[in-house]
Amino acid sequence: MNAEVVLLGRRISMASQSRRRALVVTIYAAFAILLAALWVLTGWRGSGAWVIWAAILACRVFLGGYYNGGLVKPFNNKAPKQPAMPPSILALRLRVYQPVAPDGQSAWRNDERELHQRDHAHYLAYQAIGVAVCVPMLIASMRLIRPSLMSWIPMSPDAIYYGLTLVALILFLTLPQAILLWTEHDMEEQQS
Amino acid sequence: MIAESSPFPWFSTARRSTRRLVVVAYWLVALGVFGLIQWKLAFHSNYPVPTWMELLFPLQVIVFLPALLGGVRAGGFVKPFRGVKWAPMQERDDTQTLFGPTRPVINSMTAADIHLDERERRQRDSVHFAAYTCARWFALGLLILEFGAAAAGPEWMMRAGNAAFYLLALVLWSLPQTLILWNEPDVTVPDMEPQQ
Repeated sequence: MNAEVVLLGRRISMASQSRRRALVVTIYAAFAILLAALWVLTGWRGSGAWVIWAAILACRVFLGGYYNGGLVKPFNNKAPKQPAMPPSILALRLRVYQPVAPDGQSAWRNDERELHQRDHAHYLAYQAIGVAVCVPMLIASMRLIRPSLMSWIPMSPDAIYYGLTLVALILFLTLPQAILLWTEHDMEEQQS
Repeated sequence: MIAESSPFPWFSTARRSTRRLVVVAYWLVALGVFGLIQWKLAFHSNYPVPTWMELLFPLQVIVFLPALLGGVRAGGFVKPFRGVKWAPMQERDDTQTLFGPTRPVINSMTAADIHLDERERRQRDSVHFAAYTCARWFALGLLILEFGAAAAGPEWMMRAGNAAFYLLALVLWSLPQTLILWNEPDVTVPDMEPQQ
């Protein structure tokens, strides 16, 4: 796991557990606000895919894991593809490029302990999502019997299904990294 | 990861080919129930809304069939992922086996079936990593399915919502056990081997 995140050219230390936990809470709060805002503005019609793009962006900038960049090393344990061309002028001016890690493979290769942590985080995330998905399944099943079951909610049931699927996808893309960031101890303490 | 005690005493899953047959049968039954309900909903326009009993059947498929595979609970073909932590289940007693030493048992399970050792925990976690990757792509596919259903009309959306969550729950509750049963090599039981 990396100890710092690069945001608009600034290096922000994430060595302490409390900072990483604050980051996780902030990211999920941002997702909640984004979902609510898109619902108010568009009813998620045509804008639901933006949430997926936002999740990918959060992975690239903060979380890592499934995408290069961010705090957690790539889960696939493969070296990131280095473009032959230097970063574009726009990326340099916006300072969104990732600096090249000086120590080579340690920036992306997971050792045995990290691979085990990765697998265990996926186990925990899998269990959590597996239990959580039963709730919408029960609601959807009961709605087949009683179509008026959810008439008191000021949203169409189809929008609820769609929103819940979006939430499931956000969790699929971010939950293992969030578990790793949440549970990893302070890095200074480990070194000492 | 394969439990020593089978849920059916007359049925051994020590051989991988047998386990693969179990897995194939499991998915055929689970997807068959799903297909039957969707077929009735889609092609029988005079078909009334399902009754509670008809709803109960697919829900039982989700609840009980993964329990048969194990993993999510004790007593299946795969050892329970989290062990057995419920205190009344931990009262042990010894039973005499026919050709071997006595074995501590918990209900019908041997003691070796209720706790995972370090190697098995690692195997459980790595299998869940693979299953998670599959389920993530599957969830993305379901979202695309809902896009299509939303374009087709509200009636299709109602069915697609139900179908999507049923399939997702089925995959999430069954895929790790399926991978374990499918990939684990043949189990050799030393007690049962003929003495030279």
